[in-house]
Amino acid sequence: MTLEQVLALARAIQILVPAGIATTQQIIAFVKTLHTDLSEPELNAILDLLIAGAKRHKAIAERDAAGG
Amino acid sequence: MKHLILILTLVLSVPSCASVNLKQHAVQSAQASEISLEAAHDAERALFAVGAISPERHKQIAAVFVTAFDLEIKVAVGLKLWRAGDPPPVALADYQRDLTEILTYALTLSVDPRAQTFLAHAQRAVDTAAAIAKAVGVE
Repeated sequence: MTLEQVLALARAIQILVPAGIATTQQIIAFVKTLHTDLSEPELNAILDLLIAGAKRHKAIAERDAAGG
Repeated sequence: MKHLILILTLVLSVPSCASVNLKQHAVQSAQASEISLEAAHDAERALFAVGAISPERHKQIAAVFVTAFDLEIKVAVGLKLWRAGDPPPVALADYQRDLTEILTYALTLSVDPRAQTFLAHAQRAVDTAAAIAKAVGVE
């Protein structure tokens, strides 16, 4: 991690933990996920979720475009 | 708002992390683009609900969103098969063009202060789609 990233992490802990929004462990786990190589199945699972979300919105937009 | 900025700072720091591979950059950028596109879509529909967009214009924009979501699905399917060194997913350039069209609509509406959320999400969708292109090697 760069110095800027470390400072951003420290600042997040400093603000989010006292506010009760997240624990230090939760924040570190989140950042570790972002900075860890994900496996091919994990990446595909993200893409499957993305596709499902896009299909939902596409159906809504199709109804709107048809004047529904 | 402060919390959101902090979280975004952490998320945006991902691309500079050398340990994360190119495909992961592309997938995470696609995920960010999806979130922004859905948020832009919700914002546009909210504008229509309060009468800030005419029914005819709303139908036109909805049709562009249909194409955007369709292309995004194609980009995601393409990314599933994509490996570092492969050509970019074929739908990516069209996806970027369609997002730019949505951004143009948002800019047209941006004289109305209520349209700022729509504009911000549309701009972010364009930016994150550019990040997908960069990750898959588009010059």
